[in-house]
Amino acid sequence: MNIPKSVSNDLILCSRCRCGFCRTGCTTYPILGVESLTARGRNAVALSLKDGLIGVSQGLAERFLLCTTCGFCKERCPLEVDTVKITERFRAELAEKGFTKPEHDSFNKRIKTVHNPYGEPHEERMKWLPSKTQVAENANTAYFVGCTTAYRRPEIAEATVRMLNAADVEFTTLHPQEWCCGSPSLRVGRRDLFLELAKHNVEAIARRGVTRVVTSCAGCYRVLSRDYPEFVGEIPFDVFHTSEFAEELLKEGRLRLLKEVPKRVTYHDPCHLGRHAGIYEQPRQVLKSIPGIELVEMLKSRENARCCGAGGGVKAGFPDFSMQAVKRRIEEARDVGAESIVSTCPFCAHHFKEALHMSGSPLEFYDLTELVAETIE
Amino acid sequence: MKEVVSGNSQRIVGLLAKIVEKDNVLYEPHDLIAYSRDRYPFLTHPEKGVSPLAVVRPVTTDEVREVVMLANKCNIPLTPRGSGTNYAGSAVPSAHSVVVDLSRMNQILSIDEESMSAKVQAGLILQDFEEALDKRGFTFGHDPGSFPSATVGGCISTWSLGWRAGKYGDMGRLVLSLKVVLPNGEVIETRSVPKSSTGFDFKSLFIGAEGAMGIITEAGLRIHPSPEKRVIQIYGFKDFERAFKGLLAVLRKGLCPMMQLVMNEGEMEGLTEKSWAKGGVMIGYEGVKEVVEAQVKRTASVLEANEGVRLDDEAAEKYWENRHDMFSQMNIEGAAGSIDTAVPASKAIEFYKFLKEWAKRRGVRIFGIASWVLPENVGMDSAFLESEAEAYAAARDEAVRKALELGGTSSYCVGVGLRYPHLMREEHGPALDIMRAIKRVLDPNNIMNPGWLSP
Repeated sequence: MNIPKSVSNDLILCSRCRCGFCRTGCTTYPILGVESLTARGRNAVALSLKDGLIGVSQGLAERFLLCTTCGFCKERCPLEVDTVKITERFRAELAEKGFTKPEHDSFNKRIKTVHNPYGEPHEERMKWLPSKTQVAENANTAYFVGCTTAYRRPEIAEATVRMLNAADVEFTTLHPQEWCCGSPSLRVGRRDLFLELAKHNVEAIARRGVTRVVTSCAGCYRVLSRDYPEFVGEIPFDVFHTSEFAEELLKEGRLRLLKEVPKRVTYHDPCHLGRHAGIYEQPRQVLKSIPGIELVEMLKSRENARCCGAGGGVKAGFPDFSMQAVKRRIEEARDVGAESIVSTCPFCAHHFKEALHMSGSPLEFYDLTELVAETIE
Repeated sequence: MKEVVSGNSQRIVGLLAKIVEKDNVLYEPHDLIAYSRDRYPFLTHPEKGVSPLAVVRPVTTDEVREVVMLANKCNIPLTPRGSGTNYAGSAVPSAHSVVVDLSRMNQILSIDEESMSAKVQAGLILQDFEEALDKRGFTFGHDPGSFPSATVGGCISTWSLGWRAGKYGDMGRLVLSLKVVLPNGEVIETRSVPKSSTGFDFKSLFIGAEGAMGIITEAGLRIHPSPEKRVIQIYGFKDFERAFKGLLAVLRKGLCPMMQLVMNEGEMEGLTEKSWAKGGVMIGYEGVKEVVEAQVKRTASVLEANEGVRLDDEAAEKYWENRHDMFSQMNIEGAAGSIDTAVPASKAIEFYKFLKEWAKRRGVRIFGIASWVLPENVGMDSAFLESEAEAYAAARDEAVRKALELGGTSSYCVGVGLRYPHLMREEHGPALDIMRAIKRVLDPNNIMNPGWLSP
């Protein structure tokens, strides 16, 4: 197995300590209660596999895949063991040996053929774009839409462009050269496919002369800003998430939020934006700037936020478990008397909305951009 | 006639799957290896652990009872387990055993605000319990180093001690009642009152028994009102001896701190820039605001009269925030080893001096020596490399024997496990035979976590 030294060192450290502080905030363990589904347990399995104490099997691979890679374990670890990195590394090793989930194989195949995991026609990627939107042919700023926003949560894309137009931000899109960012592939261990996508997108952005990329997707943001530089080297553009971009626009006075939105809301930190990228404050600042919004925090928020249960390939690979996880998060929002859950990730949005619909919950879900768009009109 | 199927894991798995849901029996090598160790510091690699035959994850007391009956019938040892955070190895599976993982039994069954008590299942994690109580204006008050992951059942079985025990007492004192599946499969539940004069304290048989007397499935626990105010302060002293005497003076005034820690120069390192402070007392109070303020004020005058100087409150706050993580952080330089010895408070300084000399002579790399929560508890924290493990264990035994010689105990909160079976005769004398006799009465087939109580 080709395990980097930093990963091996982390495994040794965890194996020495074994405190298990990763248990309570974990997405998986409190629901399924299997030791090999905690970071501590999985790390022990990884070390045993690496050192030849146990063999590889589909059952073992699924212990690695049944993790949303939400990063709570890394955040809570007193020794800062990077279990997300460990898990993804072993997923990659296992994928190379052919141990994958068929559902993951399917979405990777679709990404390869039509550039999105949903198998939707590539030419319809911008179908959501309202006709009156001002999109420049060429601009310094590009809006990277992302697959989930484009095909499953177009209301987020619409709200984003409305916000950009309202603030007079001249922007363009990369279409038809915007492909899946590669997040789903990378998260389930397909580093080869991810690299292909990363190279394509970086090249497409560079070719357009864009120096600033704004995305409304936490997953896209994580890979564009963190994984692309790691995989393809320095990238010739800055990456902003809509929440931090909106905060900047507010500070500069370019965005004015006027209309009252009387809602008691709670903010769900998407893992890829919060723990993976350290963006906690900006979305809250934007929310607080909206007249009428009352922001209440859930018991587990910011660094300790519970994952919605969708990420890391879990929604596709383990849909029943994924639904259990999001229901628990909805309970937490209800516990603090929120009327609406607000977040900044289309994949979280898609998952929450599905769960709220299925359970008939009176709670509403909004992306931050939707509330911003509502208050500027 | 007994069916002996030891080693026949496939058969056992099949039989267990008739008791619990199929998914609640684990048998694949990768799952078993994850249960092969607890936090016993000598088991630094999975290859040093003991993989069980199977892991069973019951969700009701009745399922536990059936598992115990099956184990008796088939002569299979059982290893009860909470979160596996014990430092002594008491949750390391016995050879060819089935691990009974209680962590799925993690529900709060009831909270009785009027009686200030709660009934919970054994697999409940302390942090989850505390968060649930906090929402209702209550606290449990048990705060061991492993608070973020330790379970209620594990804490009872090791008779653990926490940072706030000065006010709320050790884990044993917080237990009002227990539901236990005895080794013969019988289920007993003790009365939900703090004490009773009808016979000896039966529930005590299970407190600190490391799962050898039965499997605790539920506990009635004392809860307390959330404190209005908490104050943690650090006082610097010229050395450990002066700091310790300062603390004793506080206690002799009749003050009852919620927490107390006396530190030597090793423990003080990095806490303060004041280089003269080679000793320190960290002391805390919590509860009703006015009472806390009065206690803090009186404590200040006593400690100052004993050459103590109040240090930066920020340092105290930082230390308090990091209190659960610090033991984990000791693993950076090697496996974290500590001894949790206790001696009569009047012998504490003598034992401290011995530890200083001992560490130097034995070459034990210690982070520091401290007296924690009770003045009797004097122990040390260290780290050892794999190559030093044998020498460390021998040195550790010498220090423990010194504590025993001074009238103390080898462990004030961690337990015996795989660590001190060889020292139990020295510690208990003939009482060890009586403990073992009791174990034989309750567990004639010796299936419950066979170890030091089963020679």
